[in-house]
Amino acid sequence: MIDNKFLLDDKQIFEFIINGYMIFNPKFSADFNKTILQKADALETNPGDNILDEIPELNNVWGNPKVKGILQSLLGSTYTMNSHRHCHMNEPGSVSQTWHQDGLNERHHEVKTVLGMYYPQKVTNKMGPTAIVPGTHFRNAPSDRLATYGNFKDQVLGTVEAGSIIFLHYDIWHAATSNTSNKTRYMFKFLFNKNNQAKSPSWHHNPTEAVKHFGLLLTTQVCKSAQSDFYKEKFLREKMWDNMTGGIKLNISRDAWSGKKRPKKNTNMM
Amino acid sequence: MSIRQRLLYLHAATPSIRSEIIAMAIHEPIKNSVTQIENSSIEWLYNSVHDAIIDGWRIIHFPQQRAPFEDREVDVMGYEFILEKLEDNFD
Repeated sequence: MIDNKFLLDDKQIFEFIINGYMIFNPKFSADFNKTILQKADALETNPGDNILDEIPELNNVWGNPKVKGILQSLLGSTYTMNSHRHCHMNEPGSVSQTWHQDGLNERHHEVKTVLGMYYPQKVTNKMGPTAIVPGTHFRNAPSDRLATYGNFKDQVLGTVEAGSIIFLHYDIWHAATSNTSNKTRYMFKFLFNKNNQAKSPSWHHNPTEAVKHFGLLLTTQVCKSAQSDFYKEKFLREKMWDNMTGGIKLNISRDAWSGKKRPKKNTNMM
Repeated sequence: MSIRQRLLYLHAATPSIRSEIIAMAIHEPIKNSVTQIENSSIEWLYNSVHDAIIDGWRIIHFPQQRAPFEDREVDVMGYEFILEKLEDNFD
């Protein structure tokens, strides 16, 4: 049972739904991150799915109560770790990947799988940080359809402090960028699956706070795109929220115009 | 001296050449050149396809205007224009 204090709140859930990712630093000790980094550096081959056998300390990353609290908030209390995991080694001199989704373009608007990317070292922009296009987790676009995109105006780079984790919706567009430094950049990717549909929120839900922040779903544009896409995104965000809450009803108004003040009349014209 | 084709992919917010650019990739006709996601600040050459035309680029591919049948879904982002510029200063 996770203590309530480690769970996300409504505003954080709204932000995850909108952005499709969140960056969190559990504040592991410097020694802990260093041990993992040294073990990664000492690997002679990439152990693939067997990375936990080589670096068992990684179990403590995903066993951390704050980390478990986030995963439970996003996936429900019955979430499980997937058997696939990978140590990404972005070597100096690398070229960036192309944009891709790790998911299979299933047409759903849920949080079925979360990627957890743990970075044992500080990642600067020169070290090939993970690039993300916010809000693209709603888009059903096979990765080969993304091959002609270069840089997006609203892409973000995961430049993070040592020990940080980026939690991502499985379908979000992302890529490793080029490593122009002289250090290998490590990232340990793990997957976590939802196992049951939500019957109620699995985070620290407060209806009053949820009503207060619900407007974020309707007004926040995180990546410039077509206006009609933005309208659809808002609809899909609500769909995701409904799925995550188990369909709870909030007393909210979607009428953005009601009560809006008119500009002051120019009395000189009277 | 040989004339070579430079290619510029501009993804615009709408099919209009005057709409805002949301993504960009340039491919230089130089052996081993790389087009990639930048890990540093990006120089945005143009704000619109129209700006690129003024700078001498020619559009060789216009985006499809037809709307998707599944209109509640979103898929790729923006509208893809491919532009070319023929230049001879690569030797």
